[in-house]
Amino acid sequence: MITPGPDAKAALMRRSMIVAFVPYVVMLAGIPFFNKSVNEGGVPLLALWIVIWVVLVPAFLALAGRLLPRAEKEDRL
Amino acid sequence: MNLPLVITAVIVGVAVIIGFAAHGRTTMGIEDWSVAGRRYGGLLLWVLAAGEIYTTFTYLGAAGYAYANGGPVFYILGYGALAYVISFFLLPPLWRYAKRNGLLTQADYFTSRFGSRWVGALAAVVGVVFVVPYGTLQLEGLGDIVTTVTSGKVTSATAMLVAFGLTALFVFTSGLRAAAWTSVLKDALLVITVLIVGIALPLKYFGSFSGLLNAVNHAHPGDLAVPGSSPDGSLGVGWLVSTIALTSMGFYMYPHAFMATYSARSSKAIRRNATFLPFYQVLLLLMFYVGFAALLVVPGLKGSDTNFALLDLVKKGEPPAITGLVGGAGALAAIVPAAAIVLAASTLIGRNIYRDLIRPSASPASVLRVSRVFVLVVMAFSLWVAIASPGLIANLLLTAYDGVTQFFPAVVLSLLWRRTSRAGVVAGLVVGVGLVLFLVIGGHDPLWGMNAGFVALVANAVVTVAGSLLVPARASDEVMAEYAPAG
Repeated sequence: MITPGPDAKAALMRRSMIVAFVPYVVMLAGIPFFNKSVNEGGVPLLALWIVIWVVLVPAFLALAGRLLPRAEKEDRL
Repeated sequence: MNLPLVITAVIVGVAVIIGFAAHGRTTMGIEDWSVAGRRYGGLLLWVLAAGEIYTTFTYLGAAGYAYANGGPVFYILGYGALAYVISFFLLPPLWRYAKRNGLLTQADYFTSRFGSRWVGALAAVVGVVFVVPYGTLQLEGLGDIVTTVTSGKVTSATAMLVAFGLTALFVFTSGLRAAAWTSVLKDALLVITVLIVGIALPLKYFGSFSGLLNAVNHAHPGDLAVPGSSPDGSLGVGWLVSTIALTSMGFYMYPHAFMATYSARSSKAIRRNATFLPFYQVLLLLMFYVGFAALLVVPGLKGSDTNFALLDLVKKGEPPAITGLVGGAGALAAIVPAAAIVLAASTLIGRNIYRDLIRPSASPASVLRVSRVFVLVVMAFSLWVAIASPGLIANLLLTAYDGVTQFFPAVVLSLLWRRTSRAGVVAGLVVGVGLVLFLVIGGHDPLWGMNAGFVALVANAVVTVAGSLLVPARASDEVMAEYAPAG
């Protein structure tokens, strides 16, 4: 088996971080566009926008977890 | 008989018994006492990691903040989930480093990573200065809750003395285990009461959530967005975005939250927690609804009295048994974080100030003894401040979150960038904390439409980088840069 070198590990790590931070960036970037005081089916529109990304965080983190380099998934002390 | 008082007292009593019982049969060393022997996975790690979400400040404060400001309260909904995104990458390498090097406190990380007990002591002092007022806030919250649910039959000072005298004793005895096990009861009660109150009250008065929101929008136009009814409309979009960003970075920078991470069994357990904890956050929406409902049903609360929005509405609209349940849940929401905070503050003092600066030869047993004594000292000090002069800490409290977040640049950069140096970190921390104190106490928050703590954080990061470039790290500093490419 070929063990990935340090650069390959860093590249995998970067890819995992990019995926994980999608909800972080999108939630904050979208706030100006959803800042209206309206009721959207029992939830304030602005709160709804935030909640959607809150519940999407687990999905993105699960995917980011799969993309982690193998060494990062295990605890090599 | 006062039913709410009896129920609240029983709940607190059960928590105290759990706190003492958490000790178990083993003799505790300092690692057992402060980080529970690094054995937690599953439930206990979950409730410890979630400790920050449901404190009195979020539980009563969220409803009160919605009552007072309207839409700006939505920041509370967003920051936790984003904090878990950061923690997914930040905490595993920290945990591994802590395990490898036997770290117990947040300041231990600074001592070890930057090879200087003085840097560690600086971090300990900053941590204690900002975390103790946060603990005192929990005490005052408990006093207010008990006085309100018992309609003044138990004074706030009596409630604080009894509850926190017992809390100090069970932390003294059982350490972090006490905080973890009592958290289980606390979180269960909070989730139950949030569901009961958050659904029942809006429906009772307004028929549906939509009915509530339409009524709010009619009576207070603009309240469902930012700036809502914040003073002079100061909490606008820029404030909301910068505050969510700031608080998501500060979340794990509180000394007690940082330290609770060390108690994990594995970094996998930490990542699993980070993945699922966001769901836990959604319930807070219901607390905002309670705050909005209170705005229309019990109008006229001003200033810090808005923190009573939830309790006033519960007393008015729910049977006494529910009021007692909410009182008990609220009391635990104060006791558990206070326990974790006192533990963190006393361990920082015992290890990073007493041992590292005063008696480097102190044995682990003597550090444990000193830390335990400081549990009592810190709790007594907090009680004294909370009872004698509650206004004293108001300023420090405003700055607590902004203040602890100033650890963030040093922690993140030391993981990402090999060149992060001691000089850069110290300069950044001093500039960041100095700016927070100056801006917030001087009344310049928000600054340029943004959270002042965020402005300080940016300055701190710039100074940390510049300082690291000007005064490079020595070889001994370069022990870790987990995510940095080799070279």
